[in-house]
Amino acid sequence: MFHDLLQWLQDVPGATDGDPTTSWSQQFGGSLHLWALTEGTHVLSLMLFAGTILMVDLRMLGIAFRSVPYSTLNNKVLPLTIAGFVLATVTGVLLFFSNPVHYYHSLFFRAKILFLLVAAVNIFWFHYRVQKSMAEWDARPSPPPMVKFAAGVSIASWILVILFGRLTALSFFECENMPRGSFGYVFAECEPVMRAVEEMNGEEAVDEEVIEEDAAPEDGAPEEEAQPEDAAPSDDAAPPADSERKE
Amino acid sequence: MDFASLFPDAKPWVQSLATLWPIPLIKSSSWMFHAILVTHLLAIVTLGGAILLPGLRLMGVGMADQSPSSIEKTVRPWLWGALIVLAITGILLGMVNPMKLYGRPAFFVKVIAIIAALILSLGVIRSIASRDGVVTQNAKIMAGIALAIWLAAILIFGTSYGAAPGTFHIICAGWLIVMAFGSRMTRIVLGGITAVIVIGVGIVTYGVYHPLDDYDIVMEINRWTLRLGALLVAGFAVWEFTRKREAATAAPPLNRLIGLLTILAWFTVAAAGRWIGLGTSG
Repeated sequence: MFHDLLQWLQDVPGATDGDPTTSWSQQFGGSLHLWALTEGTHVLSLMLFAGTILMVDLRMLGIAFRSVPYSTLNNKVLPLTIAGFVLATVTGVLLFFSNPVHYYHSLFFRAKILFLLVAAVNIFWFHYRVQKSMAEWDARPSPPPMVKFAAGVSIASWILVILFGRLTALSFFECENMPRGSFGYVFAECEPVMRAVEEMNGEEAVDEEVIEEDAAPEDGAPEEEAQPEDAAPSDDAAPPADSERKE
Repeated sequence: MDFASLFPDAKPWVQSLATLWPIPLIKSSSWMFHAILVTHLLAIVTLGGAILLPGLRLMGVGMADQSPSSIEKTVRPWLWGALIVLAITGILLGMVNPMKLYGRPAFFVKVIAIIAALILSLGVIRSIASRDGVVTQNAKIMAGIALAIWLAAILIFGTSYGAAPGTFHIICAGWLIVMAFGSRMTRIVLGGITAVIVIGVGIVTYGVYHPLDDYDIVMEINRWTLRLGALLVAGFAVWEFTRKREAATAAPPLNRLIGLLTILAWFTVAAAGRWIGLGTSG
């Protein structure tokens, strides 16, 4: 749906002389330290953001801080959670900007966004429905089942957000690796990506034909026997040790 | 500084770690390594909650109306749980590619910082919290040792090629704590100076010079900006958390500094851990 817009975002803004490698997005993605610092901050902000959410969820489950009223704990911890959330969101948006087309068509990234939405819906449901009766259970060491359910959904969804966020850095289930028409292929909207890959392959094939024609001897002398590139064993044949984009 | 340069004779032993059980099993699996990595990350998140609340309480902020002992006791099982999971998953992750860790300064920093953080969390904080704020002579000595170890870790972190940019995270953590819990005037002054530095560095890096064409100059500017930022944040933090507070319930300066140091020590462990992957060899 947004493929073309994100392709433009990746290639055009900041680009000089129409060269996409000079765009802001690609310069940021290929930067020596800036990308790494942003990614590191994104991961470390989880300690503040998800770490504090976990403590509040444990109180809601009646596991930790049982003698502290929920509202007391929440009022003190919520500002820290919000600070962590802002940090994680700002760095997350910047990381998305560094490679928007890849992330947009990443199966894991889409799963991450899906569970982010689940977490958000759970927060709104808890805030506007469950929290209305807070006076009844605020000081109870073990809150009612609805509160525990909300805490369970919160913990599960944030674990899945972190899990899929981590997996987004890996190259499993790229569009090129998934069978056309499979669930993953459709879920990640792979059609525009594969069209672009096919167009690129087609252009390369045409280029190769042109090169071969240019290199053909004019005097009609027999050409040297072609050596297939993959005939000789190569050191590059070993599978990559690490499938991450960056270490 | 890294383990490879300190203990070059240990290389064959380090190499052999990758052949021990269950490493071949993990390496042969397409998902096991990533599962362990995610478990490690989830344990880091749990650790975050378990160190922040008692650390901030010691600083007299956060859950200040609860006693330090009750907070420390509540988070203790989660702290231990996170540490045990981190130790198991961390050792497995390290054994999968031991030579990488052997030559990385960031790993050396992480190990040094872990010692400081463990002394603070399991020794000093527990001692102070169990006495509801009273710092014994033993706790002071332990805190002094931990401070010296942490400063050594920071010095190595900041001077190691390929790992030094990771110190940015610790400066940021210190900055955030001062901005979140400092006085209004401190926030305005530190915020203003930070804005001037960020805008200034942005103009110099992208306006006056170009990062790719003037690499050496830009890197030197970045290095000096980090050093200046570290001094600035350290100065503001020490001033802010040692000055006399008017409130009767305010935590004593030593407690505030120990709380701050514990949080920063654990962030150093996490930041160095991240820069094992993001950085390069020394």
